Amino acid sequence: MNIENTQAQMRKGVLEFCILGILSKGEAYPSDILERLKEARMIVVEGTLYPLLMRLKNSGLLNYRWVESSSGPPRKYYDLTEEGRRFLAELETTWKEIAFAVHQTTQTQRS
Amino acid sequence: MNKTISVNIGGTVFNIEEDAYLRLKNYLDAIAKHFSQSEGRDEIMSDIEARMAELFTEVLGKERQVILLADVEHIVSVMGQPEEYGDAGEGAPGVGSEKSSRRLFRDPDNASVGGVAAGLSHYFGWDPVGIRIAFVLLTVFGGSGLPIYIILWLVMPEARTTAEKLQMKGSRINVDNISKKVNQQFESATETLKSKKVRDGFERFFDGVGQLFKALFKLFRVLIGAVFLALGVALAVSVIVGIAALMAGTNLPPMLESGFLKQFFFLSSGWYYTTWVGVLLLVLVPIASLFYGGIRMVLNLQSQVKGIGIVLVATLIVGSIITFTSTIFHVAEYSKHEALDDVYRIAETADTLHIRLSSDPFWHKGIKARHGDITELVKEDDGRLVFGNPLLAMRPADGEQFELRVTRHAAGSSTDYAIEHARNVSYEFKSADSLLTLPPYFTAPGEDKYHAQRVRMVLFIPEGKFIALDSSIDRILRSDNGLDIRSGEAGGKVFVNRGGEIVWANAPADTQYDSIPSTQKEENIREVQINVRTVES
Repeated sequence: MNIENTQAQMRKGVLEFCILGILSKGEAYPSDILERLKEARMIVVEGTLYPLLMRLKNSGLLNYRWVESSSGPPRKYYDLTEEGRRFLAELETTWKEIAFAVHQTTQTQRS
Repeated sequence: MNKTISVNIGGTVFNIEEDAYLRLKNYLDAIAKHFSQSEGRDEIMSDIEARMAELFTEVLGKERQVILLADVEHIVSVMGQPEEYGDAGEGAPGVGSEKSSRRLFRDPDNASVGGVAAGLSHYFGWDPVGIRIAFVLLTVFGGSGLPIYIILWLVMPEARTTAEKLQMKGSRINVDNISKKVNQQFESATETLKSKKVRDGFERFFDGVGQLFKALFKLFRVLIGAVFLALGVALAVSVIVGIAALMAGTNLPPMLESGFLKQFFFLSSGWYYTTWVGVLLLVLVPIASLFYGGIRMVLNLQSQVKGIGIVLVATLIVGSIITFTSTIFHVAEYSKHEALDDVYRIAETADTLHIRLSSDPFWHKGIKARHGDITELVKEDDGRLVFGNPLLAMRPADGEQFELRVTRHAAGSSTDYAIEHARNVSYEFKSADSLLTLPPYFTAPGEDKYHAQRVRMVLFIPEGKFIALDSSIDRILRSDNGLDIRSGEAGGKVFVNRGGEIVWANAPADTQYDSIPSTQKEENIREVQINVRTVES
């Protein structure tokens, strides 16, 4: 059993959750999102983000608008749609359940 | 100094060095390829490009202006390989992307024998040629090279799949590299279909030995096949060139010209063409066999073309029969030789006989001076064969008279035919007073064909009598001409039968020799005569 593989799977599962969570605090453009994810060690290579953003946007969870930048070309700022917020809320519930389950199971195993 | 390229990345202009540009382009192409099936590929690409532009701007800072290869490598490592992204849809994280260490494989693509040296060269980064030379040297001096090689062959697995080949070379296994690799070399379908069996040691050992013999056998087979093919090509080319030369008929000995063969040699044109077919069939068989065998050996074709052996043998037999029959028939035509002698008394009153050639109406039609023993022939318009080589020699006469003996020779399938052919030979010389005029040719009827017809003449010279040779006579003088001057230099001189030997009459180192013009006229001959008399008196 490859530990790195499992870790990557776990991270990948919560990555969308994290992205939606970041955006719930206000609109952001990819580099902001990347910075936050890197701080949280949620992401190894930056390229991973883009297909995910695309998928979330195509599912109607995200929206974006172009914003002029002082230091370069215009940037894409992503924001949550209403559906995105509902989706996030559901994920939060699920996450709490999982966290509880993990906590419970590991605790009971240890005790 | 390096060339830079100006590129637009995500709406920002960068100057980038050429090698860095190529690396970047490869990378972006790989990403584009990775997302080629996904919805919104262009959008992803432009997002990624925008991010890269940002990163480049960050890396360059304020001072630097040009993107270097190292910068690109850095950004690629930050962005990651496309297969690490996971698919836009579901997708697992990059599989096997962590493996980048080299493994020792035999390299079948660059193998000379078994790919051991090539594999070692990948693993250690040495030059494969050096490794091969080392093996050979170790084999020659001490003999350890071959066993080491065989052991390594057995121990080292062969790199079969693309992933194994990449591992062998120490490349990271990802879509970028694999696609490069696959582009570089087309892997045969059989190889990829080969199942990777897990073998135990014994199986591997015998398999390895078998492979060694197979490789050696393969090498020899291909070499021999190539030699066969080369021989076939050489033979075919020479036959084609030979036929072309026969058809063109230039610069050939006249005996080999097709016109000669057809008109003079073969009994009929039917025989001529039939014999050609026979010879071609005979030549075709070895050429076809060499080609067929060579191609089969080089390409390792297992399937036989049905019945080709029978066809080849049949062709050989038919060709042999035709050629053999034709040869028998035509050789028979020369089995008997006969000669007819005719003796003519000439110039009964003269002391000096002048001899010269008549003009040659066939010269322009192909009769030339003899060369070698080859008879040069033309066929006249009235169907006669014209032969350009009557020959003349001198001998002392027993009697008081000049005599000319003309002998006509010919061959035939029987004595009767030989005599008939000889009798049909016609040689028309003229003798008037003291002048003998000999034509430089004789003729035979066209239907007689070539039957080794010859005309040989001997002129008998009585004791004390003279002959004055025109310089034209040299052409028909035999090498044993009976004179004391060799043929080719006897023309234009006067000879006398002195005591049973025919000698140059004005022989003393005399200025006359050089002053005799090449074409003698009557006056010149008289002059010579005067000189002769002076010598004699």
